[in-house]
Amino acid sequence: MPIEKLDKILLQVQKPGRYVGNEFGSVHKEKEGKIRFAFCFPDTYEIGMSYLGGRIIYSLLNERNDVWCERVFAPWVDFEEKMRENAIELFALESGDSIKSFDFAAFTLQYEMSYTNIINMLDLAKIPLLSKDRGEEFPLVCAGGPCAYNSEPIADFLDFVMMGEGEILLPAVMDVYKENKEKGGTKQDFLIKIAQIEGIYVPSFYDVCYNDDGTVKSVLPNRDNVPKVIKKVIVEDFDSTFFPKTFIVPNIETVHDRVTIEVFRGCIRGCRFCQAGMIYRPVRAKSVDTLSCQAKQLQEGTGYEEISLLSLSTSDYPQLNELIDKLQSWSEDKHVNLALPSLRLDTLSGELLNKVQKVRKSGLTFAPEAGTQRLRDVINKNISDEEIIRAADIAFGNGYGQLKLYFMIGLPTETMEDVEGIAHTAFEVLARYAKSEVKNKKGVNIGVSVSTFVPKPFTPFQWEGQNTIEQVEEKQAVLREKMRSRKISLSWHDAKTSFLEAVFARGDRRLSKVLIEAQKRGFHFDGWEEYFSYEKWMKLFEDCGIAPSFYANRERNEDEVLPWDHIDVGVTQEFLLRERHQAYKGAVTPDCSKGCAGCGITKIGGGSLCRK
Amino acid sequence: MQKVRIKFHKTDSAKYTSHLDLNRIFIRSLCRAGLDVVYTKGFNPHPYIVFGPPLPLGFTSQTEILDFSLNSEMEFSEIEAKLQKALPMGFFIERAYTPKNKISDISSVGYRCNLEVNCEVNESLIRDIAELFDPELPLLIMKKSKRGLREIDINSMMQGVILTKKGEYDIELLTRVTCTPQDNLNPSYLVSAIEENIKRAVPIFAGYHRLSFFMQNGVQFDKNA
Repeated sequence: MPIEKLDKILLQVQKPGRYVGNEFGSVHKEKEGKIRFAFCFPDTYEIGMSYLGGRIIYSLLNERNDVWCERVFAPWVDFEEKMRENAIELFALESGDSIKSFDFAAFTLQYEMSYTNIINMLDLAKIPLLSKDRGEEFPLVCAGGPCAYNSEPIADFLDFVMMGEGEILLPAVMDVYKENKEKGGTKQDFLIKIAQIEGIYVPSFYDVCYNDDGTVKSVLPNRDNVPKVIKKVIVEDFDSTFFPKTFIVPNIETVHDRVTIEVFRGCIRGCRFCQAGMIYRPVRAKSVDTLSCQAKQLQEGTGYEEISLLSLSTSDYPQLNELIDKLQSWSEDKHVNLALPSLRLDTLSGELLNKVQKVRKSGLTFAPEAGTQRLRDVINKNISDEEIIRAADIAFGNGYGQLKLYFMIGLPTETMEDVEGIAHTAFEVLARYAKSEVKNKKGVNIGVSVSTFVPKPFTPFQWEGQNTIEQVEEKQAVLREKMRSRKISLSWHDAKTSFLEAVFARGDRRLSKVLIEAQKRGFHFDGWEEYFSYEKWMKLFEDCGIAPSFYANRERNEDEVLPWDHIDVGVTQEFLLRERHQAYKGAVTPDCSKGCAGCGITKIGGGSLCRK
Repeated sequence: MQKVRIKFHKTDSAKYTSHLDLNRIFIRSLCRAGLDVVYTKGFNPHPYIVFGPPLPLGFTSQTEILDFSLNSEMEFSEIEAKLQKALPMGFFIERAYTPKNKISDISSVGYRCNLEVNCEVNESLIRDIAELFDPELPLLIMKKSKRGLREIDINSMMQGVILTKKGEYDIELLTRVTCTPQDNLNPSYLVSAIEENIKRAVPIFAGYHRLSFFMQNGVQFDKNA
C-alpha cells in the first residue's frame, strides 16, 4: 500500500502504477512472525515483472507460512529524485515497508550493466553498501541468477551468493535461517551454517591474492570447514519440481505479459560463445502432460491471452509437435495465442509455423550469429547456408514478411570477410522473398540486429580478449556501408556499452571500489542508452586507478587463475579448453543428441541425454 | 445474447491505472471470471467491450461504465459475484444490469474536487472563486488537445459549481462539466484557473472524484435502469 506521502508524489512521475502494487495475484500477509524477504530486481517494474525466475521465487517462498516474499524494483529516475527529496526509503510493493528492516534483500543478477542499480538500490534503502559494515539490524544481502557465477565484482556487497537453482537453494536457506533465529544465533552463525550447504558461496570466507602483473594468484578460504570450490546445485527431477500455480497480473503494461512455461533447462547445442548453454546444463525437460497442465492452470488463473514456451532452444524439445497439439486442444477455443521464441532455423518446418500462428501471428527471429560457414564452425553454431535459405523459404512461404536475424561481431578468428558475410546473408535471405509465391501485405523487411561479442566466464571463449571499441566500431561502419537497402533494417548494440559489460563479466573484487564511487557520482540505469555515459565511466576508472581494458580486452593465459575458478558449474576446464582448441581448428562438436562430448556435467547431475 | 452493463468504482491504488490499462485489466478479469463474453471477429479476436468516457489518471470514481455481451444468459447477481472476485484491488462492482441509455448520449459529468491551498480558506476566498466561475463571464484558459493548444472558455463548459470550506486550508468544489464524445472539460482546469487568477491561493494538492453522468436534459444517466 502506498503511504500517505506517496499519493502527493505519484502524480508527478511517469507511470505511477509501477510503485503501487495491489495487482491481481499479489500476495499480502500478516507481518507477525514472518521472515521478510525482499526480492529485488535491479531494473524497472516493466522489465522485472517479465522475469519468469522472479515469478517462480515469489510463489515458491509465499507458499511457505513462515515467509513473506515481496517485490522491489529499481525506481525510475524521476521517482528516485522524489524519494530522495522526500526522504522516502526504498520500499517493498506489497507492504510499502522500507526494506531496511527486512530479513533478506535478494538481488537477481541478470545483466552486468544493472550492477550500478543494485548499489544504488542499497543506498536508497539506507542499507550499508559493504557486507562488513552491516550489523545485525540490517538485512542479509544476497544474490543469484546467471551473473552470480562470476559475482566477484560485487562480492564485497553480498553476504552470500546462490549458485544454482532456487527451487533447491531457497528453501534450504530459509530453513537454516529460521532455525538459527530460534536458537538466537547471529548473522555470522547463519553464514557459517549456510556455507556448509552445497551451492552457497559466502565471499567474506574467501581471500583473493593478486600477482604483481595484476592477475589473480589465488582465491582461498580464510577459515576451516568451507569448500575450496563451490559447486552449483541443480534440480534433478525437473518434471516434478515446483512451478507456480498462479502469476501476478500487472495492471500496467510490461515487456512480456503472458503465461510462461519452462519447457526445459539447459541446451544440447554447445555453441562456444554461449554462457547460458554451459551454466544451465544438464538438459532436463518436462513432460507434455506436465507442461499442458501448468499452462492451463496458469491461463485460467490469470486470464492471459498468450502462452509462451520458454527454453534456450525450444525446437530441440523432442515432443514439440505433440505439446503444441495438446496446448491448442484447449487454448484455441479460448482465443489464446502460442508464442515460441528461441526456434532454431535448422529445425524449422512449415508444419510447426502453421500450428503456432493459428490465433495471432507474431514475429519470426533466427540467429545465425556469424556471417560465414567458417566462422559458424569456429563458434560451433552448426547451421549451414542451405539451412538458412531453407528457413527463409519456409517463413516467406507461410506468409511472413518480417524476419529478424541476430548476429554478433568480434568473435574469435573473425576477419572482415566474415563481417561482410553478415551483409551477404541478409541480402540472400531478402532475395528469397522475391522468389516466394506468397507475398505479405506489408511487403518484406529483414531486421538485422548485430551485437558485440562479450567473452563470458565458463565458456570455451572465456580466455579471449574482447575486440576493442575501435575495432567494433570499424566493423559496424562496414556493415552500415554494405547494408544500404530500404528492405533491410540494421540495428547494432553500442560498442561502448558492450565494453563495460565485458569489464564486469570478467572482472574481480577490485571493481567494488569503482561501483561504490559510481553510486556516489549518481550512476544508475547504465543499461539504458539515455543514462549510460562512457566518458563518465572512463573518468571513474581513471580516478579509481583501474584499467578496464585489463578485464575486457586482455586475452587470458590458459594457465592463469581466473577470478571465477573457485566456482564449479559442472563443465570442466578440460572440456572448455578442448572446445577452445577445436574452435581455433575450425572443427565442430556435434550436439548432445548426436553423441556425448564429455563436458563433465554428470558429476553434478545427469540430464536426459547424458551418458551416465 | 445478453447485453450487460457494469457500473463500477475505481478507488485507492486503482486510480493509478490509465484508461488503456483498464482495457487490458478488464479483458483478463472477464476471462478469469469465466464469463462467456462475445468476441470481435477477424484477425485479432478479443472480447468486445466498450467503456464509458475515459477517467483521467489519478482520479477516483464511483460511476465507471463497461458494456459487453454474453453468449449465454446469466443472472446479474452471478455476473457481479464472479467478476468482482476476478478484479484486482481497488475496483468495486456496484451492479450489473441491462443498459438503458446510450453511452454516446452522455452530455455532462459531476466531479468532486478536494483542493488544498497554501492560504487560509475564508469567505473572501470562496467569494473570489465563485466570481471567477460566474457563468455570465468568460474564463479563458489554454487547453491541450490532439489538435494542439487552443483557447477555451471554461465557464461555458461548466454547469454550476458549489464551493464549501472543509478545513483551514481545504476547499471542496462540486461541479458538473461538459462530457460529450466531441468535447469534455477536465476538472483540473478549474484548479489551474484558480492558480492563474487568484494569486494568493496556491494549490498544494488536488484530489478528484467522479460522481455521476448526466444526459442532455439533465437527467441522471441510466436513472432507474
